[in-house]
Amino acid sequence: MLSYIVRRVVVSIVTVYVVISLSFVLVRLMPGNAMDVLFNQLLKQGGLTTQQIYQKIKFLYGLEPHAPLWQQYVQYISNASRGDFGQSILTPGESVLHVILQALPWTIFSVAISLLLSFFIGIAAGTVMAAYRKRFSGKIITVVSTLLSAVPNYLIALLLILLLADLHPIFPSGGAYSSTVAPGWSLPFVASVISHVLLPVATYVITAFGAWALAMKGSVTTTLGADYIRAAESRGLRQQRILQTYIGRNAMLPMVTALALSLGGLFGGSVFIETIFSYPGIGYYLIQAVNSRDYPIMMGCFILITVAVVCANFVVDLLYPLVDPRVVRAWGDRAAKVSRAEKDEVSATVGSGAGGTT
Amino acid sequence: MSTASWNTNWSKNFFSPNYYAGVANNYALMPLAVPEQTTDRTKMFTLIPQLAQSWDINDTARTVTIHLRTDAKWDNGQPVTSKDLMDWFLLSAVNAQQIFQQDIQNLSAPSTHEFIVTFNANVANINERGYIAAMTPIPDSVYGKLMPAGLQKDVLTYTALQNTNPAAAAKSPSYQVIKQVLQKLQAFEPSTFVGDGPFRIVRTTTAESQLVKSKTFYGAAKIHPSGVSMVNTLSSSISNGIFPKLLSHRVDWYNGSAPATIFDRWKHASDAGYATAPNDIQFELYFNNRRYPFSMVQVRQAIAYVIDRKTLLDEEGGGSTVSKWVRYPYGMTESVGPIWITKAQLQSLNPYTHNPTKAAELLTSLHFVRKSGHWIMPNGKPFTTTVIAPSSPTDAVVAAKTAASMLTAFGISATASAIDTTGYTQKIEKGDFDIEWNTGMGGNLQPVCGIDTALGAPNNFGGAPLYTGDPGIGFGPEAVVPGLGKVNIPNTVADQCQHTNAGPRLAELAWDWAQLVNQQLPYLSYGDNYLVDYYSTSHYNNWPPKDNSLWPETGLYSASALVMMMEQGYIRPRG
Repeated sequence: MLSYIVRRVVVSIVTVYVVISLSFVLVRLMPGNAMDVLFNQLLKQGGLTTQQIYQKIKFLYGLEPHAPLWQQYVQYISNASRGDFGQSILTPGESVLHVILQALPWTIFSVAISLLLSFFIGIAAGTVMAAYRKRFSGKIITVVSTLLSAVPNYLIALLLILLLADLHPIFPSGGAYSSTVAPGWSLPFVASVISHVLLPVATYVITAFGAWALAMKGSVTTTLGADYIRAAESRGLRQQRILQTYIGRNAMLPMVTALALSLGGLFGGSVFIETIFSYPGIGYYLIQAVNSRDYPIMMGCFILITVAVVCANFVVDLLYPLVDPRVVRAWGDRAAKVSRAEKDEVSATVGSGAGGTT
Repeated sequence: MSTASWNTNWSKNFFSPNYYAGVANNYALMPLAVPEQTTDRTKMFTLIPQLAQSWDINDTARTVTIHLRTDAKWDNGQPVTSKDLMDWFLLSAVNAQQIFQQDIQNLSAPSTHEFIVTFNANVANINERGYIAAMTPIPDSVYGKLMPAGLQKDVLTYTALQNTNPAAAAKSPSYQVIKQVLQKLQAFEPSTFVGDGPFRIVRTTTAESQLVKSKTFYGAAKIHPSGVSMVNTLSSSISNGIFPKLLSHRVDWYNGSAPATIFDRWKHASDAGYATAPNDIQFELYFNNRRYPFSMVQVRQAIAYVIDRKTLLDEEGGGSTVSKWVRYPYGMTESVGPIWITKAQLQSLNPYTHNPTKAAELLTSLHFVRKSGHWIMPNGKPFTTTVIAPSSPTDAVVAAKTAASMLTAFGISATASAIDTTGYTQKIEKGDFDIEWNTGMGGNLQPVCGIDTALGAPNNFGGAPLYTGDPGIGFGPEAVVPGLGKVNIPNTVADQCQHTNAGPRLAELAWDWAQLVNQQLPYLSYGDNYLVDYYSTSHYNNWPPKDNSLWPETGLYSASALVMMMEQGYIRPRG
């Protein structure tokens, strides 16, 4: 077991390193650069001629770094390993870490709620779809889930804004809280935060629950065909008990794995949803960084997402045996089989060697 | 009161590239004066006093003496003084540098409300330089701590040395001081915004900004709205849906462009008023003057005859639009050009009225051949091209597609390509395009400066730090300009933009450049941008009458015009 854990840790570290390295190169291959964006920003601000702006950019930021790419890469990896992800190009003086730490709570808050809601709704819907697949209700839920999972989330976002924020101004159309409320642990602020997160969450749930439902349906359907279910039915157990204890628990296992993996992905936020709702999470700042070629911010976000997903995978691998003890026994059995096969092979080799050849 | 703001930035630091100018300037931070366009050829603009009560200009002594209002105060109750103006000058020098290198000789604050700027001898007609309008006092209580004692001396020493010996200036002790201050200034983020305007910024989020009426503003008695709530229209311009908010009167004032359908609905809505205002932007199609066959003036002229500029503008605007199509493409808008170009001069220019036959004659004269409806170039290859546009705004994409379809109908196979803004900018600066959609400032109050935005750096043989030497639109670098002879185009137009003041010489230069642009067509202007002021009378009435001069002012200085309306007692809560 220990060697398994060590192997997983090494693989995780290598994965993170490879992704960071690839990201470092790929973002720098994008056309355009931060200086162009800065130029346009300063031009829009007004008050300076184009010549003055160029002088300013040159004075403030210098030309493109003269160091070769490999030197920049080595420097970046060295700094990143010490937690220094650099400073934003377009927001001088602001560290990447500061930007990410500001945005992360909003992402975790909105996406975690969305993920859990869509998961539980999807699980329930998927179970109904599988258990009552021949009934009208099961078929309707299947069609709705399939359709909604195919609709892009930005389309749902726009529709919700149009219907619930513009035509009927029930919810705010953007932001994380109202500018009329002072941030702090007060009822008005909390109420404002909740009212501002409802539409983004609704968008996410509407477009995500369908995938969970379909996955759960598949899992339940597979479980329904198992021998132990038939055995339980033939023993005369109540349908409700079979559904909950036999079908539900076994069908849930792969879903729990998928949920744990999704939790890792939540750190990336939802780029489209956060952008459309001006929700100041990681996705929102990532899009701004991409559009303005703010490489340090982009890299910081990529590192965060990568590390989160890799860690989630790692934790799932470690915790899954607790959820399903059969995994440990199977692993143990497999390991024992391998060990016996290896011993047999050695014995055969020794035997033939001892016997010599002619 | 609810308005819309074209602003995505968030910094309270006046000198940050992310400074939220759209939220702060004019609402919370007052300039000394606001320019107003004039048709007087001896001036480019007149100035409406704001924080500056008056000013004296002494051409002999080369000085401008500003007299600040004695009743202007910051939000924290402290008076606005000449020290605040000095801070702005010094930190502007630290931050931008170029402002001071050529023009300023000395700064002094003889009293708390008097400030004297001494200009160098090469600055002529200093009242025309626009400095008074550009000056914006900043609170010493906020920025003073960034400046070491003696910074004024270092700035003036450095700028004087920079004019004579730039290499020595870069090594001087003064430069080291300036660099240190700059680093502090770059990293500086005030915890609150201290302003001196009619409103005080309370809070800004990614979606909106909240301002309340300032009790310390000198004209507070005339300001009737209790606050301003600004909708961030650019951060998610599609979905924040400024137009549904406008049509449902949840926004009281919006100054900008809108699709024709929205404008038509607004015109027929109740409690809805509007006024139109010329903007300083022209819509243009730039040619890559270095790339065959656009390097040939006859080809550019042929394309000008093919492109129906009225239809192009209408399509871009989604139908009828308040913007006006360009009848004579010469690089200046209808609101600026006629001030400097006489009617007789204008009518001597080529209007390039839509005429495919004429276009065909021009191509044929260059031995282009038309086969099966497609033009073949003299080198035997089919004449194909791509019109590029930034992916935002969508109007640009529509314009590129429309232009491409017009060219295709004529027999030049053309496609439109939308590129993300940053990548698009790079392509232009490197000269990697055939035809590109762009905007130019043909409505600049200094007409040669309008030409400079198109033919100067970085659009043309740019001085950009990253693309130095790259051709941009590639016109020149030397070319014969009527009246000027053979000149370096980007350098000459930039120099004349900076150093030519109002008067007969500017009119001559405007005519020279107008002829060049009209004859040589390095770019084709097709539309003068007009903005619409949408205002709702649901919550506020007593808006200025339609013929009030402040409405056209909103085309160039929207926020300051709105504030001036309030200062004059307009815009009152209804009931």
